[in-house]
Amino acid sequence: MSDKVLKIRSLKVIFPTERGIIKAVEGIDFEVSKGECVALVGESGCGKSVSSLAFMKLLTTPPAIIDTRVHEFDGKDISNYTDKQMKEIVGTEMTMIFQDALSALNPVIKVGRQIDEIYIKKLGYSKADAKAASIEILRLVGVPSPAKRYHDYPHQLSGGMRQRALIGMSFASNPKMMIADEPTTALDVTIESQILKLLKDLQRKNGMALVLITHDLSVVKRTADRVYVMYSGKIVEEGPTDQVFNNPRHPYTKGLINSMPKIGKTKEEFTQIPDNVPHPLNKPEGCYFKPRCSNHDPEICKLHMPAFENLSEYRSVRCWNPIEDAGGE
Amino acid sequence: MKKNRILLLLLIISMGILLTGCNQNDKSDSRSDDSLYVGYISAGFPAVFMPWLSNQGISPTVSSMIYSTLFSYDEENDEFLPVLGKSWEYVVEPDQVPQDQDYLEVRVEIDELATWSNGTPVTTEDIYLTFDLASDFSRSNHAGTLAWTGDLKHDYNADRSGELVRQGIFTVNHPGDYEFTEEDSNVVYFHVDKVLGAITPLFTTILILPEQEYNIISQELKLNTTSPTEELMYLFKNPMGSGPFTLNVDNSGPGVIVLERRDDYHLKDDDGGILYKVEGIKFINYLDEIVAINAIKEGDIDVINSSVSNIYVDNLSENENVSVDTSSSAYVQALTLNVNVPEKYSTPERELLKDPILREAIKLAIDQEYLISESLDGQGSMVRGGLFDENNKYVNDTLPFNKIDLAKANQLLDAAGYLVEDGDKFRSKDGVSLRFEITSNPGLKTTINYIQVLFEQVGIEIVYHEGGNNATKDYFYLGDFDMTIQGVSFIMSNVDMMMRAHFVTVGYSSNYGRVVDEDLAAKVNEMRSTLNYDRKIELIKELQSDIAALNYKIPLYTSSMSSAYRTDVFSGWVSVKGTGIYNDESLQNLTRRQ
Amino acid sequence: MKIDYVIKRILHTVLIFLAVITLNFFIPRIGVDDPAERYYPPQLGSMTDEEYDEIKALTREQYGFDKSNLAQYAEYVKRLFSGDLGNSFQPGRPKVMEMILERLPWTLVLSVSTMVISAFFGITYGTFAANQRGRLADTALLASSTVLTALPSFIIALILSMVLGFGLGIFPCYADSEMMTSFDWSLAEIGNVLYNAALPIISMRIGGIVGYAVSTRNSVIVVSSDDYILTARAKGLSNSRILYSHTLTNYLLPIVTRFMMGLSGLIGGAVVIEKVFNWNGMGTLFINANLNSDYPLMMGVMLFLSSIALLANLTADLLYFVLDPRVQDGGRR
Repeated sequence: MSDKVLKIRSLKVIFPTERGIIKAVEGIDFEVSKGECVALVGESGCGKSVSSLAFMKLLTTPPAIIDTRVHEFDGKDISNYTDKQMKEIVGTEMTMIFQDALSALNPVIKVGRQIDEIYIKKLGYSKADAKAASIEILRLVGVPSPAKRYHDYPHQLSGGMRQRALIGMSFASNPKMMIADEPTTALDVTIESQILKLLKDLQRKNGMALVLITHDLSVVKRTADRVYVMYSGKIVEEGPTDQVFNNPRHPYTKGLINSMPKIGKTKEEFTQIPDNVPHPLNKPEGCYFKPRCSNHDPEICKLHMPAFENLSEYRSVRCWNPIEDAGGE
Repeated sequence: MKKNRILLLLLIISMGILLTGCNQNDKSDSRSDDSLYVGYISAGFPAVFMPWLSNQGISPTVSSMIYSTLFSYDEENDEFLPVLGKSWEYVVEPDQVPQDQDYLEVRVEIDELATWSNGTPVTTEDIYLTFDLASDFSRSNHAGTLAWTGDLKHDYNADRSGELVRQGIFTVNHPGDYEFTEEDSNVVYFHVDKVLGAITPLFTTILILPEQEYNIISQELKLNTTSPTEELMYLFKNPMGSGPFTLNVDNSGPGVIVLERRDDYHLKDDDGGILYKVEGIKFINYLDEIVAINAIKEGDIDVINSSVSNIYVDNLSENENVSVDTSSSAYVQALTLNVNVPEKYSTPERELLKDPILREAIKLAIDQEYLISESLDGQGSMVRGGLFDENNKYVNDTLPFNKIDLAKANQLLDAAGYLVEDGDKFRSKDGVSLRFEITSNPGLKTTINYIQVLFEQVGIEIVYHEGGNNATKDYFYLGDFDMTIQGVSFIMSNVDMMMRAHFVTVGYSSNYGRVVDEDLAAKVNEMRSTLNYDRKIELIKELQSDIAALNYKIPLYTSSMSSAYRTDVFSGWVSVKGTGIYNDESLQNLTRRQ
Repeated sequence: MKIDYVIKRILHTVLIFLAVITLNFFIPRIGVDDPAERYYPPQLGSMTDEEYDEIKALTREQYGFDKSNLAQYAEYVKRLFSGDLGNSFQPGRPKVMEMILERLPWTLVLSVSTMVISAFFGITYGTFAANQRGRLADTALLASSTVLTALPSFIIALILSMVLGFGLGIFPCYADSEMMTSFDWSLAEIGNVLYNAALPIISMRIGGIVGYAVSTRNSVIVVSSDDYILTARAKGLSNSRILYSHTLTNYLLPIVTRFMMGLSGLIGGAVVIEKVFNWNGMGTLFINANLNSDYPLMMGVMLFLSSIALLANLTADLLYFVLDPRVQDGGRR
C-alpha cells in the first residue's frame, strides 16, 4: 500500500538492566498513512515515547534491543538500514519534535543557527540561503519578527515561540512524516491550541503524516484522525478518534476518557482510574490492566493476556471482556 | 566507531611522542668547562651578596671566596696567615703595656700587591673605612653582627648621631697622633681592647669592603636598610671583592652559582704560580640530599659540600669513581642540662638538676662507646669532659675520658635520697619523679633513644621531646627545656667568645643552660683578659677540667662527617679535619685529569 | 544586562581581593614571635642583653613593627597599590616581587604544561570512554581512577623517577640546576626544559589526566542524554557534528571551571614534586619563607597565589559568560 508512510509490525523494545529485563514495548503494530494524523496515547511510562523513537530508529543500541517484523517507511523496507542510511531520511523525510522545547533546543546555540543546520547539513544550502530559509520558516510557523528572533538564544524566547521554532526546524525539510512527542505539554492552554492549530495546518497543507504522542485525550480529540491507546507496552485499543471517544470498548480507554477534565464537570464527576501503571519490571500475569480493571474476570483475566482482536474494519481492542458496543458507529 | 578508533590512535601517538621525542636531548654538554662542580643542598641560591649581612646558606661560603679578610687563622699552630695583611705585630708586647693604657696597639702591614677584582689596589683607606663603617651603628645599623668590631677602640657616639668620639684606626690619611712616612703608606694601626682575643675577630671574620660599597652607605641609606636603592641593590647583586674568585653574575641564578678564578690574585703558591688550581667553581643547588647523591653518582658534580648521611655511604662507595672521606667533625655533642631555669619555666624536675650529685650520676650513666656504636654505626669518636675537640692542640689530655659506671651512679643516687618507691620503675625524691624530657630536633632522636636505655638502668626516665625547627629561638634562649643535645665547638679562635657565652653570660643571648658558678666565671674572665699568652693557655687547660667537673654539659661523642667526592675528573683532594673534603686546601691542590 | 554581569563579577573579585589583602596581612601576625628576633639571632653570645635589646628595637623600627598593626596595615596597603610587595628579610633585602618573578616562569612551565597536557589527554580520553560506555576503555578508566586518586602524587613521582629515570634512563631523574640561568629561548634550551620537566609533569598529572577523563566522561554522558542531543540526532546530524557542535560546547563548561581552579592549586601545591625532581619553584620559595619567618616574602607569595586563584576564578566566570548565553542574561533559565 503506497499511501502508508510508516508501517510497523510487531515492534519489540527491551532494555536489559541490572535488576532485570524491561520490556518497554511488547510487539505493537502501527501504521500511519499519508496526510493522516494519528495519535498514540497513554499514561506516562506506557512505552509510547520509546515506540516513537523506535519508529525513527533513534534508540541507542545497546542498551536497547529492538526487534521488528516489518518496518517500512514510505514504501521502503528500512528494517535493515544502517545508521548512515537512516541519517539520510531522519531529519528530512521523517522529523520529530519534543515536549520541552527549552531543553530540546541547544542552550548555547542561537535558534536560527539550529534551524540552519538542517538546511546546510541536510539539504546542502549555502549559509546565506540557509539563513533566509530559516527566517522564512520562522515566519511560516508564526514567530513574530523572525529576522530578529533568528539571533536569539532559546532561553530568550517564550515557551510558545520556542515550540514554534522547534516545529519550524522539523518542518524545514518538508517531511513526509512528523512525530510530535507531547508537543504541548509544557505550554499553557491558549498557546496549546495555537500550536495544535499550527501543527494541523502544516499537516493539511503539505499532506504530511503526523504522529502525535500524548497522554492528553483532549489534544487527541481535537487533532487526531485515528488513535492508538497504549498500555504497559501494548496497544489496547485502536480506531478512528470519534468512534473511540464516543464508544470506547476497552475499560482503560473509558477510564482515560472519564478522567478528562471537561467544562461543566464537577469534581465528583471527574473520575480517576484507580492505582498506577504497573512497574515495567513487575508486570502482572494475564491482562496487564486487570489489577486496575473494575470489570475483570477473576479467572481468565488473571491468567491470560487477551489478544488484539478486530471488532470491525477500523476497530480493534485487547480485552477479554470489552465494554458493550454503545452503537452509533 | 571509526571516529573512536582515530581518537584512540591520536592518543597513543601523542603519548608516544611525549615519551620518546625528547630522548635524543642529551646532558653530555653539562661538563663542558674545567670548573669544579660542587653540589650544595639548600632551598635555592640567593641573588644578592653582602658579606656582612648573611651567615645563612651558601652566602658565607661564596662571600669568603669573593671577599677577603686581613688574615686567616691556622688552628693547628694558633697563628694568623697572610691574606690582605702581609704581617702584623703588637707595637708593645701585651704584657708590657702600662697599666694606665686601656688599649693594645697593633700594627698591620697591608700586602701592596693585593687588588680588587677590577684591578685597583687594596689600600689602607679601604681597611680604615671598612672598619669605620662597621663601628658606626648610625650607618651600618648593626649589620655588624657579622662584622663584630666590639673590641676595636674606635668609638662612635652612643646616641647614634654618627659622631666619632674616639679614633682607634690610623693610616696615612687618618694619622691621628701617629707620624706616617711615605713608606708607611701600607700600614694600619689598630687600638683594641686589652685582651689577647681582641684581634681574632677583627683579623679573621671581617671581610673588607670595596670603596663602592662603603662609600654609598650613609646615615640616610644605612647598610642594612629595609629598602635598598637601585644603586645599592646593584652592588649587592654584583659583588666585587679582593678574594681569589669572582662571581659570574650572568651565569648564576637560583640553581647555580658560578665562581671564576682571578689569575691576578696576589697570593701565590710556593713556586710563585697561581695559588688555586681549579679554574672555576660551580655550585649546583639541589633541593634534597637524595638528588645530590644521585648527581654525584651520575657524575654531574665532583663533590658534595656537606656531610652525607650515613645511610648513603655504602651505596656511594659501590661506585668506583666515588670516594667517601670520613673525618672527625669539629663539634662535640654534649648533653646539656638546664641547671638554672628562669623562674617562668621552673618545674620541680628542673630544680632537681641543680643537684651536683644527680648530675654526677647522669654522667656516670653515659656510655660513649655504646652511643657511638649503636646510634652512629661507629661513625664517631669519644670525647673528654672539657668539650675541646680531641685533636686540638690545646685539649687537656690529662683529663680522663668519661667512663660508664652504673654501680657507682646507683650508689650515689641511693645515698642522696633518690629512691625507687615500691611499684615504681623510676627513682623519685620528695615525691618528684626523675623524669626528664630531652628536647631536640628529630635528627637526634636515635641517640636519645639509646640514652633512654642507659638512663633506665639508673632509674631515670627519659622522654624525647620534639623541639621547634629553630632550637635557639624555640627553647634554648628561653631556657624552656629539661635537657637538650648541643653541638659545642671550642677552638682557640673562638674560645674567648664561646667560653663566656657557655659559662658566664646568663642573659638572653647566652649559650643555653645558664650555669651560675662564680669561680668558673671568674676564671673564664681571667683567661679572656690575661695578656700573658702562656698563662692563657694554662687557664684554658684548667678550665677544661673545671667544666668537666661541673657535669653541666656532658659530652656524648664527636660524630664523623662523611664527604662524598669523585676521583675521575679531579685529583688531589685534601682531607681537612672538621671541614670535610671540600675545603680551601683542596681548591689549591686539585688538578683536572686529562 | 550583559555588562552588568561582567561588572558585578569584577567588583566581586575586587572585594574578595581586598579581603585577601587584609587576611594576608593579619594572619601571619597572629600569635607569632618577634620578627626582629628572627632577623637578628644573637651571635654566639657576643652581645650583652642590652645591646641585643637595642638591636631588636632598631630592627623593629626599621620594619615598622613598632607601629600599631593598623598603621602598618595602612602602610602595607599603600605600598601594595604602588605595585610594591616590599623587600624580603633576607640579607641584602631582595625585592619580593623579583624573587617571585624569578621562580614564577619555572612554576608556570610545570603547572601550565601539566594543565594543558592533562586537559588534552583527559578530555580526549574521557570523550572516547564515554562513547565506549561500559566497554573496556571505559571500565579501565574508572578502575584506574580509583587507584590513582588513592595514590598520592609523590609516590607516583618516586615510582616514575625509578622506572623512567633510573631504570630506562629516558628522562633525567632530577632537573638540571643550571637550566634556570642558562635558559635563552633557543630551541635547544626550550627542548632541554621540557625534557627536564617531563617526569615532574607526568607524575603530577597522571592523576590529573584520569581526573579530567572521568569528569569529561561523566559530562559527556550527562550531556548526551540531554534532550537537545536527541533533537540533534532527530535532525539526522552526523555523529561528529553532534559531538563537536552540540555536546562539546555544553560539556566544556564544567571543565573550564575545573581547569581554572586546578591552575591555581598547581602553582602553589607542588612542593613535594619540586623537591623530588629538584625543581626550584614557588612551592620551595614559600616553604622557605615560612621556615625563615620571612614575613614580607610569605605575604608576597600568598598574595600572589591568591591573586592567581582569584584571576582564575574570574576568568572562569567570564569564560562562562562567553560560552554560555544563559549566563549573559543573568543566569535565568
